Amino acid sequence: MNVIELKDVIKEYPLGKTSVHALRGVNLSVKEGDFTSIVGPSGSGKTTLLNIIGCIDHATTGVVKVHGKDVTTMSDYSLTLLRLHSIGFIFQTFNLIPVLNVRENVEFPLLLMKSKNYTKKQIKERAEKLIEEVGLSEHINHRPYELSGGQRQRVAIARALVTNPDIVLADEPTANLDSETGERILSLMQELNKIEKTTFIFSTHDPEILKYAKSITKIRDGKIVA
Amino acid sequence: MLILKIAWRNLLRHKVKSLIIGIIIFLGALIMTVGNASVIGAQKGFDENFVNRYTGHVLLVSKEEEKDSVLYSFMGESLKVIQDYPALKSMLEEQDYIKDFIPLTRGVAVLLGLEDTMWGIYAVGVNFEDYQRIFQNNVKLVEGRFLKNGEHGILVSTGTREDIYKFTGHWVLPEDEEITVDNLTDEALEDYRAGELPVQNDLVFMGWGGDTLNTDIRLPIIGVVRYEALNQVMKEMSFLDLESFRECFGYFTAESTIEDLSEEEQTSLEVVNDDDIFSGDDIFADAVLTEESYDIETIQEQTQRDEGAVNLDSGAFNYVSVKFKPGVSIREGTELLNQAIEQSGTDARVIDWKTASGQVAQMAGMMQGAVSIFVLILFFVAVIIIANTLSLAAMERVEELGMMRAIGALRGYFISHMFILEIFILSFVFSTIGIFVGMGCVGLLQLSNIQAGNQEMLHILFGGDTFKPVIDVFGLIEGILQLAFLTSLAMIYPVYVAGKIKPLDAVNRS
Repeated sequence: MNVIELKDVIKEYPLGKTSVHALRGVNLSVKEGDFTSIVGPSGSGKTTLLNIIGCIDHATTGVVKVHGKDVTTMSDYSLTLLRLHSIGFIFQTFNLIPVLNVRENVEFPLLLMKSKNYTKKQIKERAEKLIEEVGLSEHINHRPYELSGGQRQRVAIARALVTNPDIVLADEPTANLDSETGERILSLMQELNKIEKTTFIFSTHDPEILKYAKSITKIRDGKIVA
Repeated sequence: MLILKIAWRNLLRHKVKSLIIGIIIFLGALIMTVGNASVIGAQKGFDENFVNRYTGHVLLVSKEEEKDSVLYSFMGESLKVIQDYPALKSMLEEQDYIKDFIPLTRGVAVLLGLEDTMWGIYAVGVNFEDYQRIFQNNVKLVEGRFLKNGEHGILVSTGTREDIYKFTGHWVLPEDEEITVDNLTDEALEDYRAGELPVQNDLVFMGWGGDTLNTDIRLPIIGVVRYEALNQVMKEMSFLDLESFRECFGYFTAESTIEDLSEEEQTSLEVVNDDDIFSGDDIFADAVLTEESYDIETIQEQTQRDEGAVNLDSGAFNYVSVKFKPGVSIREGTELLNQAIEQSGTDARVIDWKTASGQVAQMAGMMQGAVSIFVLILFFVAVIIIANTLSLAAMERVEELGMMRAIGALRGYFISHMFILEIFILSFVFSTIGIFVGMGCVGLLQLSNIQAGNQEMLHILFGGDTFKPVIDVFGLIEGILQLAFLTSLAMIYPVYVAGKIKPLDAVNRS
């Protein structure tokens, strides 16, 4: 079953009197439980594509479906709830909440999910389990500034997975890490994909980490080329 | 709880910004507390001083009187006389919400006989002992003694004395008193030392304006007085005894009232006319000289005016000052009085003290209003600074806020609430400190006993002779509400800016 479906998606950014075509009629399907990589050079449209899939940007034209629902017509409120419940994000620059420690950062999305009525104990247990899975139990009370780049990205992974999302989107998750740490992060994501059965879509322009992907989508000049 | 935690830690994380905004809020709260206390103190002082010591809560004037600003009219224009004061008095005595009342006359009396200068003084005609009783012994003796009820004479205020000296060169002095050097003005002291200070123990007056035939009268100076409260504002008001005032202004005096005519007197008045008096041949008669001698003192004694027998209420009055009992508001008392006037059909119209005081009360209100506006302007400047600083803080946190939005924080709930909480915590902490420090400052100001001195404007601004800021519960609540309002105003734009941050902004910034 496809969790993501894109049909004829065009994204244009206005630039003065002209416009920049970031995506030029993209068609894409991602299956549930996939571990797929979007590959392309800088400026090819990887980030734009991930942003549109993650509902943090909207397509100029075309259809974007997440779990079969067309998100192009959804309100900001509905999209926020969709992101909260169904999509996990791992950003290139880690983007943790600086005033919260590791545990609190991981707990944060669960605390936003009022409708699911998690108890404090459940939230704590879930966060601790994921922190353990990403190997940061020793740093559970540390603030982001006390962690290395790799450790921060692992916190971001734990936070992305804590709500049990259907999809995790990772935009160049290893770009700011050294190659060894980057490979460890990808291994971790791969492992969690197996354990949690979560669909992972990650972008990269590093051919070295493509070996981790189950499927690869190549993008160039805003078009899917393979 | 999570929002509170994040908000609190954010404030600690951005210590400098928090401190800048906190100091602005602290100063706002401090200025507001002291400013409100000053305005409330001035208003209370002014109201209490005026109501308790000069005007009462309301004034009753004749229905014929068209002016409202009856205490200070243009060019000393006189007031209409209340018709049938005894009836009005009976009606007032029956009102259980009235604590006390006193009838008065007022006008400008022109000084005659001193050099070639004509100078008017603001004079009040009243039973002075009653006046002192009702107005809390506000009049203080400087020289001489006070007027007794029914006694003829004038109590000259210190301001009037200085004006008379300035315009005529005469130093007013009560009868049988020696010059008190300490009370002389600098110029008068120079004249005194040079042996060129003429002293005046009595004054000749004539009423100014009005519809009546004014006459000139000579009155002995009984005393020189000042006022305990608002002396600088009211220092030019002098007191005449009622009957002298009436004579001076050509009003109907009590002495001229014939209350109960005997039947014989009534018949004589009806029969006798001018023709009867001047007709016939017996107009002129030869004088009959006898050996009998007359003692002038005995004649004086026999013909002396019997003050006690004169009912002063039967003469003319311009207005009545009325004080209500505690707990009766001016509005309530006015309504009740209007009803009673309508029912009794007496000649009276009710004017509240502020309206009656005219420009003086308005000036006080305007000056106190100016202070409030100044404080308000400071507040709005503070609002702009706070709003600007917070907006910049929001812009600097695009990545953090955008990321929160990306992972599911609702703009209208989480982000706004977090920002509002941050501002609320800052406001609560720093405004509480500001209010307490402000209260301390008010206490210090009260203790420092700042005097208005000779500055009339300061007397009006202070609402009395000394600066007495007052902290009261309603003032504090009002101040807290003002702060809450202004803080809310300050947070509108930053919350809007924070709310407008999109997840995409965070990604782009990254």
